Amino acid sequence: MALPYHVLKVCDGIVFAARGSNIHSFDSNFEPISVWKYPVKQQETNAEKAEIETPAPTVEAAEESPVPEGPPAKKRKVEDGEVVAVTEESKEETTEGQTETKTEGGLTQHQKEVNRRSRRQKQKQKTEGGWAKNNKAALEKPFVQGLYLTTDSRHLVAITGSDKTIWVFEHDGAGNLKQLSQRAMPKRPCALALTPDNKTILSADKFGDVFSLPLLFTPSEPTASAAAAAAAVATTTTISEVATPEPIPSTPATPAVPTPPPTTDVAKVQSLSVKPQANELTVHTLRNLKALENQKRCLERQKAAKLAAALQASQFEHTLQLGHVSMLTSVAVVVHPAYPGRTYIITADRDEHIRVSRGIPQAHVIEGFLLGHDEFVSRVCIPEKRGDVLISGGGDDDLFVWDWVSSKLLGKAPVLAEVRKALAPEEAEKVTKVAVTKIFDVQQGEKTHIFVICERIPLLLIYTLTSDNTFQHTQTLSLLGTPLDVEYLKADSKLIVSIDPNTSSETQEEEANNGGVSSILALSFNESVSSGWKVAPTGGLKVTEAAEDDSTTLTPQDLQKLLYTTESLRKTNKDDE
Amino acid sequence: MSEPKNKRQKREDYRAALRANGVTELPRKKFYRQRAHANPFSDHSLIYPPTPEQMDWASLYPHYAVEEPTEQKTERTESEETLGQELSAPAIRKLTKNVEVADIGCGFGGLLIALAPVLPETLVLGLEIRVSVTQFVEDRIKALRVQNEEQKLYRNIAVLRANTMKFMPNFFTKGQLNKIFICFPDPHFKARKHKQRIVSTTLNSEYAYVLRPGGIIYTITDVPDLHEWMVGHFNTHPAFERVSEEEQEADPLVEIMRNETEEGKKVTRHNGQKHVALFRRLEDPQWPEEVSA
Ligand SMILES: C[S@@+](CC[C@H](N)C(=O)[O-])C[C@H]1O[C@@H](n2cnc3c(N)ncnc32)[C@H](O)[C@@H]1O
Repeated sequence: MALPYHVLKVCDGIVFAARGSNIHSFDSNFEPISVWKYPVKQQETNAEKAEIETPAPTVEAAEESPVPEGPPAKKRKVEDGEVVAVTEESKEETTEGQTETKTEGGLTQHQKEVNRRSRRQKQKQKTEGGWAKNNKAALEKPFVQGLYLTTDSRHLVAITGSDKTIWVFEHDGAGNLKQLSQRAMPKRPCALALTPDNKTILSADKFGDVFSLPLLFTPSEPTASAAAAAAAVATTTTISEVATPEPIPSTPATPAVPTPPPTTDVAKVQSLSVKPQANELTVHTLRNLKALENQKRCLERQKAAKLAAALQASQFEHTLQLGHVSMLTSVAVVVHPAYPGRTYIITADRDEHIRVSRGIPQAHVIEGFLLGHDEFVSRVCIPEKRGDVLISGGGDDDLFVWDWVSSKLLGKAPVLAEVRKALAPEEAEKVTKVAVTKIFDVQQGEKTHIFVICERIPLLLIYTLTSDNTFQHTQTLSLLGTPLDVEYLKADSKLIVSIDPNTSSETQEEEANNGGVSSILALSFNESVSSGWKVAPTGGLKVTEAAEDDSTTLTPQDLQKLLYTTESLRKTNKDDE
Repeated sequence: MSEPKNKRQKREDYRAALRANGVTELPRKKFYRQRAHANPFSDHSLIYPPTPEQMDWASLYPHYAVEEPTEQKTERTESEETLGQELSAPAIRKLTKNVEVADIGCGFGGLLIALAPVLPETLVLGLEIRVSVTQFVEDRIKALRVQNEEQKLYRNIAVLRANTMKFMPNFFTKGQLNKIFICFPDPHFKARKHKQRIVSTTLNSEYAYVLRPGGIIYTITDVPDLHEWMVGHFNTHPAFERVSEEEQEADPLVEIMRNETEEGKKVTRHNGQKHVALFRRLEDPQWPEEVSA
C-alpha cells in the first residue's frame, strides 16, 4: 500500500505534507526539503501518560495501526539534532504500557458517547480491541491529524491522533522544522485554531471542550512537588503493574481539576470544583508519602525521571474556555470586519450545531448559534477576505452560507447534487450521501473561490462567492483519485490537492511513464482561458511502491479507517431508552 | 430486554387504552416505569427541531396557538425521512406567547402541575430525557386539562422529551427564558461521572444563553456535595450571581419547588435536607475593546 500525504499546509513557498506520522516539507516544485519523524521515544512517554490520565483508551488505540520504519528517501535530508532519531529500543516497554492501559477499568460514560454507540462500532471495538492488544505495534505511531500555521509563518502546530498530542515546531522559513514542545491533552484534540496574536492555541476535543494553551511552552524543571507527585504516580503504576483491581484516580489534567495557573474566570470554577474531590486528593497525598519512602528503595532513577516527564506533561497550562456536550469537529478564531476589536470563537459539532462565542477572555459568552444543519457539521470556513461570511458543510446534501455575526442563513448550495452530476451515471447512482472533508478559500480579485472535497469522492468542487453574497457552484474537476486535502500556493497561483494513491485511476503505463502514482496534484488557474482551473501539466508529486518509504504495511482496511473518518460521524443506529 | 415481555406488553396496552379513551383519567405511574438513568451523551432517537423557529409549539399548547398557520414547515420533505415524519404537519402554527419557564429534568411533572395555576399567564415547559416518564407527564397533563376544562386550567404547561445537555438551543432562542428550574438533578457521585452533571462550567454558558438578563435559575438538591458543586459553578460563572437568601425566601416559587416535585416529596418522607440556591443571570460584560475605549 502506498502511504498518502493526507494533510497539507502551505507556508509561503513551502509545502508541509503529513504522511502517516511524519511531516515532510517540499518547495513549490515538490523538491523535498526535510522530514520530521515521529519520535518513538516520545511515544513511550505519551503511552504512560495515557495510562495515568484516561484509563482504557482501547477504542482509540484500535484506530491506530503500525507504520513501518523506512530509511528516509535519498533526496531528503533529515535535520540533524533537531529531528529526533527513530529508535527501536523502547518498543517493548511502550507496548507493555499500553497493554496495561487496556486492562484497566471500563470506559467512562463520556468515552462511550464519543465512541458512537452504533452496533457496528461496538462490534469494531470488540474485535479491534483484541487485535490491538495482540499487535505489539498497534499504538506505535499515531497519524498526524492536522497541521496549523501561525500567521507569521514562524511556527507550525500539529496534532497526532491516539496519543492526543499537540506538537509545536519552529519554522525557519525554508522548510526546516525544529520541534519545540509536545503536549499530550487530556482528551483527543480534533481541531485547533490560533488566536490572531499567535500566542495561544485553542484545542477543540473529542469530548466537546475547547482548551486554550500558550503556543510557546518551556517544560520546566521538575520541582519538589512535581517530583513528589511523580513518585505518587510511580506508586500508582506499581499497583497497576501487580494487577490490583483498584481504580487509578483521575489526574490533574481532567477539566474538573484546575490546571496551573488558571487564567480566566471560567478557570476559577475549576479550582473550586476541587473541593468535592478532596478525598481523592487526600489519597494522592497518602500515596505521595508512601511513594517517597518507596522511591528510595525500589525506584531506579531512570524510571522516576520518566514518570516525572509524564507528569509534567499533564501539568502544562491549559484552560477550559468553552464546551459542547458533543464531539467537536472544527474550531476557528475570527474577527468580523465590522468589529475589528472583537474576536470570536466559532465551534462546530457532531450534533449539527455551530456556535459563535466571544473570544478570550469572554469565551463564556455565547453570542449565537448557526442552526439548520440536519446532519453533523464537519467543516466551517470563514474566507480570509470575507470575514463576514461562514460556509459550513458536513453530512448534509448542501453547503450552508451564513452571516455568522447575526446568526442568519444567507443561502445553501448543493454538494450531493453536484457530485452526482459530475460522476459517471453508474457511479452517481451509488452516491446517496456525502461527507464534506474540507472547505477551503482562495481569493482572486473580487471573487472568493471555495474548494470543497468530500470523503471518497474523486472530485474537486469549486464554488464562487461574490461581493454581493451570491454563492454558486462554478466548476467541478474530476481527479484521478480520492482527494484528501487542498491547499494553495499563492506565489505560483497553484492549487495543490493531495490524492490517495491507492485510489488512483492511472494505468500502469501512465505510472511508468510518469515515474509513479500521483500523490499531490498541482492545479493552476488560467486567467486568459475561461475554462478555469486545470491540472497543471508539470505539477505534482509522485510516489512509487518500490521506494520503501512510500509504502506501508497497513492493510488497506486499516489505512482507510485512518484516512476516512468523516462519514462515521453520521448518526446511524440511534439507541434508545 | 431483561424484563418479561408480558409486563412490558401490559404497560403498552395500558398506555394505548388510556390514550384511546381520550385521556380523561389520570395515568398510573406504575405503567410508566423506566430505568433511573438515561445516558445524556448517547444519540438516542431524540426528536428536536433544527432551529427554534421550526418548533411546533402549537401542538404542545393548542389553546395558545394563533388561528392561522403562519409559514410553511420548512423545505425538508422527500429526502429527510426521519425529520420529515416528525415535522410532517403541513405548517407551523405560532403561539400568542413564548415559553418562558423551563423545568430541566422535570421527572414526573409535580412542579409543572403546581406552577400551572400560580403562573397562569406564563407558558411553562418540562424537559425530560426519559421516554416513558415524559409520556406519563404528557398523559397526566392531558387528563388534567380535560378534568379542568371549565376552569381552563393546565393549558399553560406542557412536557417535551429532550436531552437538555445537547439540545437547549434547538428549542429556545437567545434570552427567551425567564426562569429555569433544576430540581433534584441526578447527583452522579463518582468523579468520573461529573461530566454528566447537568450543571457545569460549560453548560452554564448555555443556560446563560437561553436565559435573559435578570432571569433566575432555581436549584434544589438533597445532596450537600451537589449543592456545593452547583453553587460553586454558578457563583464563579461570570454570567451569574447568587440571589440573596432574603430575596430567595420572599419568592413564592421557592416554597413550591421545595414541596411539589416528586423527588422533593420523597426527601420530605425520608426527613432529608433540602438545599436551595437561586442565581440571577447578569448582563453580558462589555466587549474588551469597549472597556478600553
Ligand atoms: C432525580 S430526577 C428529578 C426529577 C424532578 N425534577 C423532581 O424533582 O422530582 C432527575 C431527572 O432528570 C432527568 N434528566 C437527566 N439528564 C437529563 C437531560 N440531559 N435532559 C433532560 N432530562 C434529564 C432524569 O431522567 C430524571 O428524570
